[in-house]
Amino acid sequence: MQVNSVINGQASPASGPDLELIDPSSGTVFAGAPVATGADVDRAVAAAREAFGAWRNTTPGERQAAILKIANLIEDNADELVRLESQNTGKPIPVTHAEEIPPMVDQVRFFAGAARILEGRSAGEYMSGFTSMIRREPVGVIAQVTPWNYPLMMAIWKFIPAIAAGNAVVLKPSDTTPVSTVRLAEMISEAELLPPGVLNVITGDRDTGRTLVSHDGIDMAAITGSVRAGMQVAEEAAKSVKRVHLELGGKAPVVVFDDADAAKAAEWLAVAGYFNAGQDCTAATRILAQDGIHDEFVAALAEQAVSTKTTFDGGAEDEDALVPPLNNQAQMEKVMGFIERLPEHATIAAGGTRPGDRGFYIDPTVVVDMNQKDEAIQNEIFGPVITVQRFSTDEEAVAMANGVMYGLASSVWTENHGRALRMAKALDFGTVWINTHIPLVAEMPHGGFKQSGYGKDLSLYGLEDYTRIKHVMSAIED
Amino acid sequence: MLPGQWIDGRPAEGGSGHVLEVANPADGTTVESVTLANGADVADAVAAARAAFRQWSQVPPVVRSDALLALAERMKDRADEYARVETAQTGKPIRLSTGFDVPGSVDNTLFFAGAARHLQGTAAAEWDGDHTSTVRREPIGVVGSIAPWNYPLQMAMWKMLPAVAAGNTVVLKPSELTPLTTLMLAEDASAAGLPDGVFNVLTGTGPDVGEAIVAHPDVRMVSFTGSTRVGHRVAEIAAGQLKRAHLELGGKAPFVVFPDADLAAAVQGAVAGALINTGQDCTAATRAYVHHSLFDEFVSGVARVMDGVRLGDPADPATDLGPLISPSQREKVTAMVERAVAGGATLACGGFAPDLPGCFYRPTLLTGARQDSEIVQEEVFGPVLVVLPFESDDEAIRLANDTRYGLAASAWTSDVRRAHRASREIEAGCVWINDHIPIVSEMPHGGYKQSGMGKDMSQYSFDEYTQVKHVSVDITGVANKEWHRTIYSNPRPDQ
Repeated sequence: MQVNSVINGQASPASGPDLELIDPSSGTVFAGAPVATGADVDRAVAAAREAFGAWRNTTPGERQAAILKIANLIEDNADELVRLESQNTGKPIPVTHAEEIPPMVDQVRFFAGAARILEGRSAGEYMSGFTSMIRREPVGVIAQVTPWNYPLMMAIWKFIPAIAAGNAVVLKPSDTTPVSTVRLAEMISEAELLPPGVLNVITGDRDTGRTLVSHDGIDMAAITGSVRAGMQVAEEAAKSVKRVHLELGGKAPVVVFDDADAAKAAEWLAVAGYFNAGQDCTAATRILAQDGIHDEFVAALAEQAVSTKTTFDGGAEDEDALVPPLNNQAQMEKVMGFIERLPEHATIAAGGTRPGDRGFYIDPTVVVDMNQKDEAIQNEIFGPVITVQRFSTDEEAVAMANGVMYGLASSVWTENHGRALRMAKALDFGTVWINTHIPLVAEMPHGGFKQSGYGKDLSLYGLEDYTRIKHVMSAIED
Repeated sequence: MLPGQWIDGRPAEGGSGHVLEVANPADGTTVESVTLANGADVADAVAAARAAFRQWSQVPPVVRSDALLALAERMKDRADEYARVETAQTGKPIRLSTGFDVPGSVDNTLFFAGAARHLQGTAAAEWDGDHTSTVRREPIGVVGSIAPWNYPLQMAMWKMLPAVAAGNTVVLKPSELTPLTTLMLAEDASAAGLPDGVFNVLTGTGPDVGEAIVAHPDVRMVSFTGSTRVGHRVAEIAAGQLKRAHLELGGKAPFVVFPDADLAAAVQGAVAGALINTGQDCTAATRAYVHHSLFDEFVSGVARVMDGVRLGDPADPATDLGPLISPSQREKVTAMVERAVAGGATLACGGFAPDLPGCFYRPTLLTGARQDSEIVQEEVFGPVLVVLPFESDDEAIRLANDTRYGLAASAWTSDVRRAHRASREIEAGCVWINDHIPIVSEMPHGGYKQSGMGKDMSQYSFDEYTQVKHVSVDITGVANKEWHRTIYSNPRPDQ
C-alpha cells in the first residue's frame, strides 16, 4: 500500500522516496509513505492560498454545515478509520473505538457550532468623534504538524478549528503515522465536503515539516510535538515573525494527599498513566505521594500496573487489553534507556521489562523512591512508566510539582475542598484536575505553560487562536 | 381532527370541549380542527415542564446541543410539509414560507445547537485575595411562552430554542389562529430526543390559556411576542409575581432615504420591506422619510412597483402577496387607510381590497399624512407604506425617532458619516444601512422603547433565559478572618 498526499482535492503520492510504515505490534513493514519534496510543499501551500480566497468569505453558518458533515463522515467511517489507526499505531481496536471516536466526533461538532461564535467588543465611540468596532477574521494559510501518539485525533484538533475560523490548511502528519489522516482527507475530498485546497495533507518527515513551516506562503505554524520540535518551529517562524501555536510535551504531576482514597486513586491513575502506553502529553506520569499515604498507594499502584494488560498476547482485537506497544522503535529504545539509567536510589516496583522481542512493547512500570533532580523526573519519558516521589507539606508538593520545565496538565487528589482550590491556584499547569486525571471536554481549553508551549487546543479559545483581531475606527464628525 | 396539545411528550386532546377551526385566509376553508386546552391542561403542561426541568437543567450542554442538531435534521427532512402547512394556515405565499420561514427556522436551530455549548462567564480568579470566585450561568425554570400568528413556526422557534438550549423547559401557546406548525415542531422535538416535558404546546386564546400560563406560579419566566397592548397585560401579570418578562412587541420601522441614496435600491428596498408577509411583520418598513429632492421620484417608483405586485393563491409559486391573516385584520387595515385619507392623506396606489376570495388588500402607498397622524404613529400591520418628506438630516433623524416604538429602522445613503450618524442616533434594536429586513441567527433582534425588552436570537438571548450565580470559596482556611474585625473584635488566638 502506498499512502497518498491530498493536495487541492486530489489524492496522489508525493514525489519523494518512500518512508517505511511499520506496524508496532509486529515490527513489520505494511506500507510506504513518500516524503513530500519542496515542489510538493509548494503545490500544497499554493492550493491552500488559492482556496483561502473564497473560504474566508464563506459565512460561519456555511462552515458549520460543512464541518457537521465531516463529523457525520467520521462517525459513518469509524470502523475503517480505527482499523487503519490501529495498524499504524498498534492501538487496541475496542478501546480506540470506545474512547477516541466519540470524543473526536463530538469535538468536530463542537467546532462546527463554535464557528458561529465570534467574541468581540461593542462598537461605540470610545473617543469622541470616532466610531470603533472589532472585526475577528481568519489568519490565512496555516501550516500544521501533528504527532504520532493520537494521529487522527491530533489532526482533528489542528485542522478543524482552523478551517472553522475560515483558514486554509496544509497539514503534515508524523512520518510514522500518516495513514488515518490521509484517509480522512481522501474521504472529505471524495464526498466534496470542503472546497478543494481548504484542507491539504502531505506525507513526509522532519525535513518536510521544516520546509512547510518556513515556507513564505504560510501565515502561521502550529505543531503538536516534542519540546525540541516546537523550538525548531518557533525558531523558523521567528525569521519572518509568523504566529506560532505550540502544543508540546508534558510531565504531569499527580499530587496525592493523605486524605485521598489510595485504592480508587491507584485504579484511576493506572489508566491515566498507561493509556496509549503513556504516550500522552497529559499522562499521569509523575506521582507525588504524601508521607502518610505513600506506602499504601505504591502497593495499590504496583498491583494495578501488574494487572494492566498490553496487546502483546491477544493483539489489537483483545477486548481486555488497554496498552498498545510503543509507537516506533526509536521511542521504545528511548523509554528503555530511561529505565536502564535509573539511579541507585530508585526501585522498580512493577514492570521495567519487555514482554518479548516482537514489536515495541514495554510492560507497565512503576518506579519509586525517585528524587526531584533525577533524569526520569525532569524529562518527559512518553512511555508506560509512572514514577513516585514522597512529600510532606503542601508547599513541598507545590514546589516539586512545579519544579519541571513543563506546564501542561496536573492533578490533585484530596477530599479537602479548600486545599484543592488552593492547589488549583498554585499549580503552574494549563489543566488542573481534582480527584480525576485525563478527562477532556470540547468546551474547555487544553494547552500548556512554560516549555509545554502556548496556545490552546479545543474550546472557543482554540478557535480564537486561529483568528486575528482588527480594529476599525471611523471618523464620524465633519 | 388534530390533537391540539403536546404535553409531556405526547399529543393530547384539549379538555375544554371547544373546537377551533383553523382557517385558510386565502379562501376561508378549514385547514384543520383542534380542541382547545382548558385550565387542567395548563396545569398538566406546567407540571410536566417542572418535572422535566430537574434533569434537563443538569445534563451537560452537549446533550442539549445534540438534540437540537437532530431536530434541525428532522425539520430539513420535512421542510416542504412545514412550508405547505405554514402557507395554508397563514396565507403567506409559498415562496416566503419555503425561502424564508422554514430555512430561517432550521438555521436558528443549527445556531442554537452550537451556541448551547458557549455559556459566557467571567474567568475564575481571586478578586479579593481570600476567595476563589467563579460564575455559574444557570437556567431559570419553566418558561411560559406565547407566540404570534405572523411567523408561527419561526416565532415558536425563537421562543423555544434559547430557552431549551440553556436548560429551561417550556410551555408554549401559539396563536389560536395558527397552531399547526408549532404542533408539528413539538412532535419533531420529541422525536429528536428532547425528553418528555421539555417542550409542551397548548392551544387556546390569550385571555384563557395565555393568561393561565403567564400567571401560573410555577412558571418562572414569561416570554411574549405580540401586540404592545397584550404585552402590557403580560408584563402586568408578570410584574405582580415578580417574574422575568421577555417582550417582543410592535414596531413602526422608519425607512430613511437621504439625498445621496441609490434611489433605485431604495425603491426596491421599500417595496420588499413594506410588503413582506403582507406587511404583517414587526420590522416591516412602514414610514418612509424621503429627502424632498427625491420625494416625487421615490413615490412614483414605489407606486409603480407596488402596482405590479401579484396577489393570488398563496400556494401558487407565482403569487407575490398573500392575504391578511383574518377578516378582522383586513377591517382594521381598511379602516386605518380610510381614516388617513379622510384626514388629508393621498393614495398613490392601492387602498382597497381586490375582488378575490380571502382577506386580500392591495399594496398601498400614502402621502400627505401628518407626522402625528394615526397612520404614521400606529402600527397598521398590513401592506401599507406612508411617505413623508424631510429637508435636513437633523429633521430626518428626529422624525425617525418620533415614535413610541423602537424595533427596527433603515437608512439609505452612500455617505460614510450619514451612515454612522443614522446607526448611532436612531433609537432602534436594529438599524440597517442600505437594506431592510434581512436578519441572521447570530445577531440580536429586539426593541427599544415600547417595542419591548430583551433579545431574540444570538447569544444575547441567553441573557434572558439564564441567571448568573456567583460561587465564592474561602481559600484561606482561617477561622478568624480579617474582615470579621469590621463586625466584632474578639481577641484572636494569636494575640
